[in-house]
Formats: sequence, structure tokens, C-alpha cells
Amino acid sequence: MSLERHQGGWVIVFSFILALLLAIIPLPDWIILWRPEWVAMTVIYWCIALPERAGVFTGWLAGIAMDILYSTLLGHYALSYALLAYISLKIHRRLRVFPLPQQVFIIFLLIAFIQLPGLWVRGIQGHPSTLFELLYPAVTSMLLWPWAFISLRMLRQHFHVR
Amino acid sequence: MLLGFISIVLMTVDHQFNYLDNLRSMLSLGLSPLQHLVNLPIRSARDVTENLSMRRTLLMENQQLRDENLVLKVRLQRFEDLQQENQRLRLLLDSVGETENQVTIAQVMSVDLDPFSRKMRLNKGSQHHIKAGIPVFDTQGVMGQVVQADLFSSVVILITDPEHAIPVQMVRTGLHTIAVGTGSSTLSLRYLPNTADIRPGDQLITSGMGGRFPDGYPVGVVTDVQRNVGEPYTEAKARPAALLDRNRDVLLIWPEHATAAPDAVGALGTSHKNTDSSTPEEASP
Repeated sequence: MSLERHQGGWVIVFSFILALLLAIIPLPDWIILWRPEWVAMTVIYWCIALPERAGVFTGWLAGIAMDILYSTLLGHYALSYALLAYISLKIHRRLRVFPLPQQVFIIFLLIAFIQLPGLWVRGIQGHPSTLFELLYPAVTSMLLWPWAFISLRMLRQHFHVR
Repeated sequence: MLLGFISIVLMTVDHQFNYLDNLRSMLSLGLSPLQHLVNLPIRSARDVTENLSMRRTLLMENQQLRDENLVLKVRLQRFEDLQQENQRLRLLLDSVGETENQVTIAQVMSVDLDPFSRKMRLNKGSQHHIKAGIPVFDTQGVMGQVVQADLFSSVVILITDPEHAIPVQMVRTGLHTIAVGTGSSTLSLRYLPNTADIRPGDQLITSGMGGRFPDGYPVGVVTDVQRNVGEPYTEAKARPAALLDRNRDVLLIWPEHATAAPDAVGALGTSHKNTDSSTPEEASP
């Protein structure tokens, strides 16, 4: 693990900060449930692009940050994103070589799947079940994934993040 | 696996106990630059539009506010008279006199929270002596209460959040009940007997039971009553009186038994004076 091998860690941190900002930017009421899971997309990207650097712990940390910002139970998003990072790491070899349309479909499934722990946590807290609304972010994330993927890849290549 | 386990333990502890509040405030301090980064441009954009608004509109608005102020002042005179009379009568009846509550004004930050819960973030925190449990109002009625106070900001849970319940009373009949949030923009009234005298249009006010909210503040209006003969309770829905998602400035009213904050500004019924010069209050339109 020489310094030469790992570089550009700040780019990863910067991308997460950007994603967190996008996650709390106020949106109009009618669109609020459709907010894409920016942080989840960032977790997936770094897990498939640099599986030796980003991992379950990265996802967990990002999740804790989300819990703080969203004032949800500590661990709610952390659990979801740690799970997300784990699955992304498992399938990163396949996901990397998939063509974008196929990738998009997997992203939809992943983001829809990681809503489940959140659904249970909310259920335990006494929230009414919102099964369909949980799919909205998955749909918008799916639509925005190519764009996020390409811009994050440009960022990574430009700064030679390894 | 380990992190998943830690997450579950954290959630349980956070749900059941309040050991984690300090940890949360500390972590929140680290993330507060993000919140301010989002809040500032939006707020300054709003300020700029306000600065750019035409002189004529400003003059008109000024005139309107002046008129309104006059009307309110006249009403206040009557109110003060009534209050004194009330105090005298209470003394005659040997009951506890009403004390004036301390209020402080905070602004809602332009930052979104969890879309499935009904919460908002205020720009004042424990630095301004805000603590969890302090009720929050707007000019129309009860909005909610503070659930978490960080150093520079605090989180308010609205009365429409499914985790929130508030003891209320009907103005017309004096009937006590509990208004629970539904997660949408309505309240649901629980545990009403089938024989309860309740109909759409009934005003709801805080009953002061539980000691969290001061009594007598408007909570909402009953909109819909459904009586099912087969069910043990009548179901009723209410619309909150406060403009829950259209506010920029909110009032925090300190409960009487709590130790009043040294620089909590003004008192209810008297003119409001801001002692904190570092955060000048925006004049509400």
C-alpha cells in the first residue's frame, strides 16, 4: 500500500459531499418523493469502480451521514447503504462490463431492494406502509444513473483516482 | 455483517433510549456546514429578490403592515384589559394565575429531511437555549415540538408526523381527545366514543394535558367524522390550523415550568425585541 498506488481520496470524499448536498436541497412538495438516491448511486459507483478502496464501511459512513442529515434513527440509512455496498462489491465484476441499459436495470433493482430495511424500520416506528412510494426514488435513480455514472467516471479519470 | 449488526443495535438504542443524543449532536456539528451550504444560497436568493422588489410594492406593503399593526394594537388593548380582568377573577377564585410565556423566534432552514416523516430544521439550536420538547407555533396555531437540538440547528417534529400525538380539546363541547399525525397533511382523532358530540367544523385547541404544550392554542378544525356502528370508536379527521409547510418564521414558546432562557427574547403579548445582533431577523412579509 504505497502512496503511489492510492491517490485522489479527496475526490471520493468530494463526490460524497456533493451527493449529500443534493440529498438535502429543498424540492417542491410534489416531487419530493421522487428525489433520486444520490448518495446510494455514489456508493454503487465507487464500489464498482474501486472495489479495493471503497467498501461496506464507506457505505456505512455515508449512511450515518444521511441519518444525521435526515434525522432518522441512527443506523437506518447506514444499514441500507452498507447492504448496498456489500451487494455492489459482490457483483462489481459483472456490473462493470454490463452495457449501460443493463446496468440501469440492475441499479433499479438494487435501489428498490435497499428500501426494504428502511420500510421495516419505519414500520416498527409506526409509520403507515408506503410500498409504492418507495419505488419512486428507484425509478428516478435509474433514469439518472447513466448521467451520474459518466460524470463520476470523468471525475475519476481526470483526477487519476486509484 | 458486523456493521449491519452495529446498525441494528444503534437503531434499537436510538429508538428506546436517549443515550445517543449527544453523539448525534456531535456528528451533526460536523455536517452542519453542508446544511448551511444548501441553506445560504437559497436564503440569499430570497433576500436578493426582496431587495430588488419595486419601491412601490414596498411602500404598499409598508402601508398594509402599518394598517394591520394599528388594528392589532387596538385589539391588543382590549386583550390586555381582558387579561387583567381574567387575572383578577382568577385571584378571586383562588386559582393559579396565568404567567406570561417566554417566546423566541427561529427560521425554518431550506433543507429537506426524510421525505417520509414530517420534520423540519430550524436555524437555532442549543446555543440559543433550545432544548428537546419545546413546543413550536406559527401565527395560526400549533406546529409541533423540538425533538432534537444540535448546537446551531434543531429538528422539529410536526403534529402531522405519524410518530406525533398531541392532547386536544374541542372548543364547543370541551371533549378531550388525542390528535395523532397521519404522515399526510391531516390529523386523526383517536379514541372517540360512538356517542361523542363531534361534527365537521369543530375547533380543536391544546388541552394542556401532559404538560408539554401550553393550553388554549388552536390545533385544527375537524373536517370529517365517520361513525361505524360496528367499530368501537368513531373516526374523525382534522386539518391543522398552522400553515405547516408554508412558514419561514416560527415561534418557540417556553413552557412555564421550564427554567426560562436568559436571553429568550420578549414575552407573549409584549413587543418582540431581538437581543442577538449576529442573526438579524428577517421582517416577515
